[in-house]
Amino acid sequence: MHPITLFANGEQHALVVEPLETLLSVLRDRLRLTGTKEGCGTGYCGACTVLVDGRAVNSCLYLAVDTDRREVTTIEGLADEDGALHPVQAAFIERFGLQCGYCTPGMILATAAFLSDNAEPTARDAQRALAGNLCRCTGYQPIIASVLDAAARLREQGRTGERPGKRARIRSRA
Amino acid sequence: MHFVGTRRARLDAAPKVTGAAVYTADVELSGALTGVILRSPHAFARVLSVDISKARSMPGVRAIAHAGNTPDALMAFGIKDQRLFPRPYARYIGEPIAAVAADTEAEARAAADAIVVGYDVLQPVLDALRALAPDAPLVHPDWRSYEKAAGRVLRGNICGHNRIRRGDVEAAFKDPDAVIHESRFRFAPGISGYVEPRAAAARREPGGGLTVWCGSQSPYDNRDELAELFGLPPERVRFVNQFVGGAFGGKILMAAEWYAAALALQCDAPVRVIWSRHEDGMHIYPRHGGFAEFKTAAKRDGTLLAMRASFVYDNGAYIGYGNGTAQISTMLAPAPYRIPNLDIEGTLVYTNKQSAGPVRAPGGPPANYAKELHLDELAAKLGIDPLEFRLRNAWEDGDEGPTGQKLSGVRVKDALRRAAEAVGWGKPLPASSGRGVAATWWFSACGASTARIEIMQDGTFVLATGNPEVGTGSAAGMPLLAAEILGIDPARFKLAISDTATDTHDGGVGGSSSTFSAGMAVTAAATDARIKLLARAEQALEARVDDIVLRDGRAEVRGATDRGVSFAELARAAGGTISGVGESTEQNDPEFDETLTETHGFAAWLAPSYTASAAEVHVDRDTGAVTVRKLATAQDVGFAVNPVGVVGQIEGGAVMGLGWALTEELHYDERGLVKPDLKDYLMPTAVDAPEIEVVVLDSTSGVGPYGLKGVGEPPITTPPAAIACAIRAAVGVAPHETPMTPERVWRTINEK
Amino acid sequence: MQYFEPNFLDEALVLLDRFAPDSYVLAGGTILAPHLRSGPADGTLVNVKRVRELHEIEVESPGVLRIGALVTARELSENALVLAHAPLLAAAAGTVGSQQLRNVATIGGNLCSGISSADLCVALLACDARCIVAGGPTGPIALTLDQFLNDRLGTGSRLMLTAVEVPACSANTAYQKIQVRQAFEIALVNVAVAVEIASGSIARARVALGGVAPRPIRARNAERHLEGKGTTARVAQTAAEIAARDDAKPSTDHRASAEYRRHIAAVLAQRALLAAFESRPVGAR
Repeated sequence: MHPITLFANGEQHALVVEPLETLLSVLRDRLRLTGTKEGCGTGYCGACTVLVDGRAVNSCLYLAVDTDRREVTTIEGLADEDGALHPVQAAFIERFGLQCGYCTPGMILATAAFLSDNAEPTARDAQRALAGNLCRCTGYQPIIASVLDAAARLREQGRTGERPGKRARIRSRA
Repeated sequence: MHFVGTRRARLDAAPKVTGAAVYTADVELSGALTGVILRSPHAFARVLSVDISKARSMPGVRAIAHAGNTPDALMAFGIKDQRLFPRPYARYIGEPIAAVAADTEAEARAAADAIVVGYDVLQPVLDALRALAPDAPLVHPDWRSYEKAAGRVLRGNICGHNRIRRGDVEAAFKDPDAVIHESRFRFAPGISGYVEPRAAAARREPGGGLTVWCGSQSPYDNRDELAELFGLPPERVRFVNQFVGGAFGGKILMAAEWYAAALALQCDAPVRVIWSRHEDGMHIYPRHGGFAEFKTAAKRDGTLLAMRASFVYDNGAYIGYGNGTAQISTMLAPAPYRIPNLDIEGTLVYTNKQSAGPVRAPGGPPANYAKELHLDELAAKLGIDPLEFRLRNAWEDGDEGPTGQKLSGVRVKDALRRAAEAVGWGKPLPASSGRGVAATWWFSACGASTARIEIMQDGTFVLATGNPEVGTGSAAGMPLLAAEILGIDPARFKLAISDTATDTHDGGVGGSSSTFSAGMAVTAAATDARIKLLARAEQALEARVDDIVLRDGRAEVRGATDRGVSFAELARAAGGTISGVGESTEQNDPEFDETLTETHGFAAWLAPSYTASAAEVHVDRDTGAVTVRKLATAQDVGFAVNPVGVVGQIEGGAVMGLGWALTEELHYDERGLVKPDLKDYLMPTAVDAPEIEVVVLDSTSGVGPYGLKGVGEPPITTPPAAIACAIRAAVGVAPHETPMTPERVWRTINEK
Repeated sequence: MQYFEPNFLDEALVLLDRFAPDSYVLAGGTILAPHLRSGPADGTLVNVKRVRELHEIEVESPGVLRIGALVTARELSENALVLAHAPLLAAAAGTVGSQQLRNVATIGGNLCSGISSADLCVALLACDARCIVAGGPTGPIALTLDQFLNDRLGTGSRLMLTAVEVPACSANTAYQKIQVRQAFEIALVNVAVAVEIASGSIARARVALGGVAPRPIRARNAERHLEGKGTTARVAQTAAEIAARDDAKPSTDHRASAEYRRHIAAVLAQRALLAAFESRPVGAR
């Protein structure tokens, strides 16, 4: 049993975890953040994608012990502080980038991470960036359209290069 | 029209992009136990004993379900060949033998491992052609004692057979002027590939009822089946359907639901049965694999004369809903072309494998792939362009379908031309590139469906339909239909989708039926509500019904909009709620000539639609790798209530079809299924998706809301065929085995 | 399961030794963690991510780039030193799996994976890479990658791969791989080549093959054939045929037959060699 301090969507959590416990399990079972989905448990579908320090990872493979003092962003933490949808979320709605929605949280986070490093991607760039996120419903066309739309929104809003998600608020020692 | 036919955001998009949407594994149930399954490790065995004595006393164990303590009843399929737990034969590796509920998953798993099962291991049969041999082991040794529905065929390992015959194929083949071509094909089995693995939870209610939480395509039918097997009154069983993370025919038959219910009925806590991908794979209902043989005769000018075709499909251990595949295949094989002499047969065979299921368009991809590639090869023999060949033989209004059904609103030629045009048919191509085109028809289906609309005095509008949201867009399409009639912005509806407690029975998502059936019910419910609103408004506004307009949630006098009253006020005056209820109307199947068919349960197709796809591919001759540059599908949808949804189905089906054609394969070895994880079962990624062009044709079906036709399945039926034909055009040959992996393409090229 | 997070390399080595044979190095965890979860949760997990030096990329001595075992595929594909010094490695790293896997999968994990077509492994084999292995009785030793792959460090070893050293690569390089779908799949067969050309002829060649033997291999027969020859299409073709016929030892499995793998090795080797001869920018496909 190993103690960690993890920041999930800006909130600090002190937890004691098993060595092989996954980040996915901590998020869903301990923190009750069920927006992150398990699709395969082996890193081959991307449904479980979350951001760790702004980088997309498969939370089904990422061990909780490796999240100590790191910032984790899940789909629940992507919206702005005042609750406004993140441009990627808004784009996926506008451009019909989802049907059943099960791949959507992972798809959106992988997109957000990709766009934070790529301000003007081509469709091909977007396809490659999302190679690790399987969708069975849409055929990917509206997903790529959503990614390009989101890129345009981020540029318009002057938000290119911004790390997605809420930053940690360190609790004061009062 | 203000709403129907428009592009609007889905009502469920916001919760889905924020993580608020609840799927079955997300449902909070305090005090829930975890249920796990003990599965047979043998492809075929007699279960001699199940000893739970040690398991029962292990820590945390609260219930164990097995053949000895659950109903012996047979499941209500067309052949009654299956029980909840096997008694006595376990017929595939992975067949559930027992289920354990415990406080934690680890405790449940440890207890399951401590159940001692005595097996008498038997020789399995793992190949459909082998299963047909007279000396093959019988998957159901006691088949003679089985009850079955009228018209079902059951004989040894044969669990389905149908035939369509007209004219005289033998005489046609003997015609000295006929050009004849023969082909054989093999299809690998595949999976639905939904990203959400199966899950269910159940809880026994005080007073003997049962609540089941699940993500099913057909919760009402499931509820009825489950109630019947467990001897519970259906009105005491409640299925609460969550959002479903994809289904594609793989979530019509119950899976986790059975075991959650069986365990919950034995204890006092809720039981969650949440499967991993691996476990989902062990319990999969795959798309049938199988074989086909075609022999076709045509005149020198390309006129088709005769076709003989035979399909053998590997149905796995139990019939379930596997029946449709063989029936649909025989209706597809000669379609959509005029062929006067036919002998088409379809056979389903039992083997010791997972039971094949009604995966999106059962029979559609394989029958069309085989038929279209075969016809292309015949056209090449005749020296006729593949598109021209098809246009010469394509159905037109007034022609008959394979079983004599009169066809109208036929759009085959339009679909072929538009699809071909979309990929630039006829324009020059670089070396080793090619284009292919393929066409088919498909049915619409109208199941029973009920809907209810409630207009509340607090200004909320509730739309309750039994049609689940599995991605296919009931949450998008149904509100549009209701909005059109009631003049409310569709975004204002609160959806109550698929909780059987709302008593809005629906046959479920599947068989290209939802917008048709649920659409009819919703339209009827909205119409009913409209009539009631207008009647109340008449009084309130002291105006005549004809002078009243419903707009933006208000009833107003035409030309004097200050004289109006809100729906909420009308509801208040009515005592709190104004409800509209509606049902779909049973549709009569079209007439056909029964003398042309033999034990064929699906020989007339309601409101048929016509689809054609075209593909442009490049083949790397040295490696066999196929790159699909573009896919186009022209589909006749009757009327697009939800245009974005229609395009979504067509694009999604195209990529799913590409996966079936090029990369997806379930592997079996001499023992059975080799783990179908997503590392080895290769579904298309975003990089695999080609440019896709969608052409939506409309030609009214004459039935159904706005004359619409079923949309969900046709999109996967023609892209694989078009890709195969394009490969043949590119390099002169295409594999007769799917998936057409680089190795298979390379081998086919080198066998030439 | 015991768990440790040592801050220094020698701590890690002591732990691995003390708790051998059931002691495991936890790097990215993408292969190890699922593997351990499928068995009894016994043994000792040594998470080495706090050990700084394992994350470092630096020029060790003139002409030698030292890459810590925990450097991720993503870092390899973006790091300026790697791009300049070992472009073949950077290119191969960019093709690994998915965005998510590249962020986490490490060079050490890739070399220890036992996967015959592991991208980084095959690329490094063509780069004359050396593996620095610590934990032995006489201190860290340097093995050629070929030697390292021969005595692959299985789980339970007291030894640990701590770094990979890559000599500066002035050769023309190319990387080719084939999969069944277009992305996100362990390669069926892959080929990496590095060809040093002087005065129009081949001074030295390294050809590495993956997916055609139990582990990634150097196609030494092909390499011998290339030395001293001109950079022509004919030479590329012959060398590729030799690699496929004499160096590759493929097996059949449910993904592909031995015959096809052998054939593909020839095709990819020819393409890679031609690309290298023509000094095309290195990259897969």
